[in-house]
Amino acid sequence: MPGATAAFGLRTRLVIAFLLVAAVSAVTTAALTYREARSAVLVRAQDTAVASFREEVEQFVPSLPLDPDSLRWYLYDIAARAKPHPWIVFAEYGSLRASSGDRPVSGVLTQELRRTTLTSPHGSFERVVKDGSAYLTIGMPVMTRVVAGGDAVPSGLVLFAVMPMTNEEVDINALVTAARDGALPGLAVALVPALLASRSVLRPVRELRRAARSMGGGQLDTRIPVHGRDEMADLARTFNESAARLERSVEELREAGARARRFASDVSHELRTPLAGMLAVTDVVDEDAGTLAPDTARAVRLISAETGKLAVLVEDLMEISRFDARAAELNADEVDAAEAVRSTLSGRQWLGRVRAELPDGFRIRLDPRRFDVIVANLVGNALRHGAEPVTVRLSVRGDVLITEVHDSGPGIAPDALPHIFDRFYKADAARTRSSGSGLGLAITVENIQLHGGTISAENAPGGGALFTVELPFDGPASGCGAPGGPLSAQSGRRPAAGRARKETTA
Amino acid sequence: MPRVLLVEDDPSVREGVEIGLLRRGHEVLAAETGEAGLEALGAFRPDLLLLDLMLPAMSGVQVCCRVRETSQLPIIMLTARGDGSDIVVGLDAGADDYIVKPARTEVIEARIRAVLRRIESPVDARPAVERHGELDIDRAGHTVFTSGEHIALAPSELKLLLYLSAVPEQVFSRQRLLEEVWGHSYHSDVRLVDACVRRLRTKIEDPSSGPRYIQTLRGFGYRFGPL
Amino acid sequence: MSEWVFRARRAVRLAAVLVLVGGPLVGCGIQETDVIEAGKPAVADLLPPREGRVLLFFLSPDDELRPVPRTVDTPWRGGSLEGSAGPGDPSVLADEPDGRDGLGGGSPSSSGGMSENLSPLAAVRALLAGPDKAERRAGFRNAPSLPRVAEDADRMVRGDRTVEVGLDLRVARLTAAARDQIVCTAAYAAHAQGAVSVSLVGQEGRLAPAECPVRAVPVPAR
Repeated sequence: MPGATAAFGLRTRLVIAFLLVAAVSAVTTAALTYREARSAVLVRAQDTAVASFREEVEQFVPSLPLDPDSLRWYLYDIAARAKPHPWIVFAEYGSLRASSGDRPVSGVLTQELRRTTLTSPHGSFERVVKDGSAYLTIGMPVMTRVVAGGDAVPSGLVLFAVMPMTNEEVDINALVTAARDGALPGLAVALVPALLASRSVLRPVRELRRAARSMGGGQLDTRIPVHGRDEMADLARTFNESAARLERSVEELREAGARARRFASDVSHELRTPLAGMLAVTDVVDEDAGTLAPDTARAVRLISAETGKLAVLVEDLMEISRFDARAAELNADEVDAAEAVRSTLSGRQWLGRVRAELPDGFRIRLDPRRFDVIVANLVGNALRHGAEPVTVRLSVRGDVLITEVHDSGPGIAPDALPHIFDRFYKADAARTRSSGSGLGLAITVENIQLHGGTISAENAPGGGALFTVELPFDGPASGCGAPGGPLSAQSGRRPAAGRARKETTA
Repeated sequence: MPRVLLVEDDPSVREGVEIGLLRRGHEVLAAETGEAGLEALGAFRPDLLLLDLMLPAMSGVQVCCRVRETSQLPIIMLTARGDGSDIVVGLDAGADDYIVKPARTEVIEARIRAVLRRIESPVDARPAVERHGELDIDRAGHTVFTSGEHIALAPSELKLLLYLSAVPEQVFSRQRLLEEVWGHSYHSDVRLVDACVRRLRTKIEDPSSGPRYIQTLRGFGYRFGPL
Repeated sequence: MSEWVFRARRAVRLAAVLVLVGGPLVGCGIQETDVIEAGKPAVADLLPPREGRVLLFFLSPDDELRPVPRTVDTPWRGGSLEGSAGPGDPSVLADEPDGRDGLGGGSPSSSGGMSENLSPLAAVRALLAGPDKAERRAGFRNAPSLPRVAEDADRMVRGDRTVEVGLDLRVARLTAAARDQIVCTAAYAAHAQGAVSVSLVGQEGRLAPAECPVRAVPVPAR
């Protein structure tokens, strides 16, 4: 009955089931008891009646030949000694009929009883229900001894007794009432063990739910204690096995990911050493290129330039590797936001190309070097891929510092918008190797998240791409990096804020 | 032109840096191991030590410590790791600055210049020796005494102390100190300042009580005094 | 599809619950029964002493063979077969029948010879004379094929455990009920418990000896 039962909780269904079982067993017991008691009542009444009727008949039966008038008096005598209840006595002899009642012939006696009594050498009885009342009818053939104390032959005289079973009906109705009155409180009492039993069933269910939630929360080593060997124990065992398997595969995935990240990191490390040597001599090469043959000079300059780019790429790879390995440190300091942005712009000689709207007085806790990376990447991105004028704007909303970088270019293609923060994603296929490593925005996102902030990219209503960075004023929720702290330099931590990358609203 | 002793185990880096510096007119002696570098110190008498942090047998940190036992020779570490506690360990061992590999020769040379640059006395009218509590600072002679005893300070330590004590009770942010003392651009590693302050404090402060001369103002930076 | 399955399962479950709960409840109150045998019949001494009566077997309205006693005022000695104590046995009783009303219903017989009067032959003759008024009122009758003339029973030969009744008619024409009437009456007249074989001898010959179907059965003493 899924439709009907889905509306009830498991507890309600269990209790209903228990009550149903209790009801069925109570009713069955009551009914069986009732039947036994009823048949006992009836059998006793019948046996008493038949035996006493036989006794009275033997005592009072008149001698043959019969005088019909005096016969009735004999019947009165028998009727007067009725046991256990009053009865009416009828007599048949040949075609003679007599009774102790008003009418010589009873309407209750059946032909079957008459015939049986007339033909069989036994007493008989039959219960008859007439007009809603139950009667016990007894047929008793009378045998007579042919000689005193000798054998007997049927005399042809038969007597019937008709006894209303009023008292038995009352008794039996009382039995029904008693059974019903006993079953209802029984059901109420059964409610208590039903609730207890349902609780004992539901406790493992609750444990299971708690464990499942804990698993969902990332506690993959969650296990359930297994009690006994019932179905719930099986369920718990299955849960534990599945959890173990899940933990194993997650562990494997994690290890695989870690291996991949370690590999990227190792590759970057290995690339660094030769690059260090090469980069140290690029100046020498560049200076002397003019003295070489033109072709050689071009080749040498190409090598020099690409070495520089390679160095940037490897640096960015290293940086990303550190983020992936959660090894990125945050060296927070309290700075003036406007001063920090201005410093970034001036350090890269961008002050002339960028319109800066930088109100003073926004003091914020952040890692100045990482903030420099954030601003530099966004502005550099705007200058490279967008078009001037590029605007950098600082503002405050609530406890969040908002840094907006807006260019006047064609904006970002809608299909590229969801991917622009992906690593090595190139929005424009033609611009494969324009400049930058392809990791700039990805590193920017990581740096922002390290601060507990968010970034979003969209196309501004007036045209051009608009990047919005939101950083919390109170810093990444830790007081690390204060000057003078003995370990302040190593106190980088991941922010508690979740990853909210690519908050695109386009 | 300054004489530079370069200790670097990787041949390509060693040769590249050597070429670059030679080209810019420096006298360079390149050593392959820390032990060889320490040996060459006496004969070569360098103005500056360019020391790789990761050396095969004797590490750069150990070399740094050994040098600081006897000399206040300016030391710049070459490190292959941009981040990490190794840099802090190296700075605590007495290095004045560090350079992340790979770096262009012009960057390396700029750092060498900055470390070797002397701090000019801001005001000539001052007496030759200033006295701040137990601390005597001879600005002209670049010497510092505490309770009359001479204290050997590494170049970065001396410059930081001179800069801070020139304007007592003035608070300087760590960024400002990085720019003024180390000649770094704005967004450099403030751990340089913190490590240098730690070293300086162990030399001039009384360890039994809190810092007296170099004081920290949380959220703002450092200042000299008030005593 | 599944909706139907669900409904069917639902109906089955409901029916099961109803059967479980309702089944025992069916049959409240007192039920009718069939006719059930309940022990011995009533046994009593309804007959006058053997010495003062003779048993005639008439047919009841239900066509049952019933013993009807007629009282005689003279002591009964006819049943001498029992214990074979009779002195003059076996003897042929008188061939000539006596008065028609030799055994008057309830009234003392006027006949003189008691052995003659009370002999099985007299009983058979009384039977052939038919039920008296009171007996008729109670519905007793003779089988139609039985002759109405008492004198048709003309002779009686008594042997050891056998009685031969001579009838002046064709005995083969008698119906079974009629034969039984004669056999039983003769048997119980000749023997207190009717334990003799009776042969009917008619004009054309004799029938095989028969015993009375109304057998006296032992009953426990009071």
